[in-house]
Amino acid sequence: MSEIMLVVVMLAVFLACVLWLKLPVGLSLAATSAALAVAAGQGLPLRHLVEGMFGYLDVSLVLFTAMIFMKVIERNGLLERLTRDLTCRFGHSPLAMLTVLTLIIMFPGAITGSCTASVLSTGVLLAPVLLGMDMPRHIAGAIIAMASVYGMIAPPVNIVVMIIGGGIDMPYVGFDLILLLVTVPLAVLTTIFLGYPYARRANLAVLVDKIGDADTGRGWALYLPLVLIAVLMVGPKALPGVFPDPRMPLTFVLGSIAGLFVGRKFSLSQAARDGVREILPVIGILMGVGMLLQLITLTGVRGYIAVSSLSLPAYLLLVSIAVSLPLFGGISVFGAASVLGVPFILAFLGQNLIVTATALSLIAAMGSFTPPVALTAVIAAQVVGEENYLRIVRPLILPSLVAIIIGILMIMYANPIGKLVL
Amino acid sequence: MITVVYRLIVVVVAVLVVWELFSQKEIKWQANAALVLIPLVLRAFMLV
Repeated sequence: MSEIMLVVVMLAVFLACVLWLKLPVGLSLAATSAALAVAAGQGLPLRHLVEGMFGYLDVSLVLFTAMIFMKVIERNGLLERLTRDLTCRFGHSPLAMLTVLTLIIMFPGAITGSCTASVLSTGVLLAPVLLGMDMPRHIAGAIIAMASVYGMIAPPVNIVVMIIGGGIDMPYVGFDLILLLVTVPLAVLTTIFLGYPYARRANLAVLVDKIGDADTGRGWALYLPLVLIAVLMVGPKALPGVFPDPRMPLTFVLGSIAGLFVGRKFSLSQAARDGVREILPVIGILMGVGMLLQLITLTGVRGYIAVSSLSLPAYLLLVSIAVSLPLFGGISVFGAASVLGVPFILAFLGQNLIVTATALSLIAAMGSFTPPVALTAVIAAQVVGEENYLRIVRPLILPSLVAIIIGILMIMYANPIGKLVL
Repeated sequence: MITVVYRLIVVVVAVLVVWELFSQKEIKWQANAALVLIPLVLRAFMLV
């Protein structure tokens, strides 16, 4: 079977599994990999399927341990305390309040690389604060959804970049600054664009007093897990060769253990189980992505897509990135990163790949709001009690278009941006 | 030393995934958990 037919088979099987059979995206990618191998006359190459999964095992361990850490600081009261302290400290000006709220919502997504973690933890925690500013439910939901999505692609963990990088053997190193510069300003500006008209009119003093009254415990010992994580992450970079690098999974494990000794008492096994349950669909996707990447390499499809992408005129390539990545993201952002992101970055091998991969992750992330799945918007709608999730998607159309245009400009000027920032 | 610690982390995560596999009601999510379990078990036993 020719490569073009294999691409058709691949897309058809994947879409059928997701949209018709309603299988989880991870399983759909695994089924697509198996179907691709059979169609290419390779039988069922178990060795390749299993080997592909190992490509993302290290990333998976980071996600598992980060999610458990998030559950620990949620249960021991640190997350609540952090929210209270920051809103009380910066909550007296509407702009500072909106900025801080955005950063807090982004935090779990940045640590775990999953926007669901943001929506379901800090999103839930801060929804009453946003609604307390007399914001309509759909605007509060839109702010939570957008900040969570920017959190998903913010450093230190950006799974979209990891997937794209894994496809071209590019290590996840040197992305922190550029990701920070792209995500934080865009997230804060989007929140201000959506929320400032309401925050300006709200009585923030009353709101801050109400948050300040919440009993979240006293004393700075509660911050110990967060301080430990920061030291273990920054130490090896600040003092290379002197400070041992425990790597991220062990860092999060040590942070979780520290969380047991401060704050409220809770069941660690229950917190760990909840964390694993929440992150399993994302890990499943990573395993599926690993299989698919291995199989498209084995069958020659990857080379075919790369050569085809290279032969496209530059403007057509940019248009296809701007349209297809967010559209495919409507099914799965991570799926879009693996199926389309990898071939796209192969077409830009001659330029700064750190900037290009960051831009592709920004564009792909906007697919989080594309129907039919629009997972982030759907969950955010549940959090704020909005019945129609499309009302949350509507105010996000303009900010998403701006993000896509910025992403395209970053790809066009990747080398100068790289020289300036990296 | 660090290899042993990481192997231990993999084992703990694998146990949690097995727990999740048996507590899931829907077969598709059980299959998803089983898929994730494969590399974890192979790495825990240092087979790959």
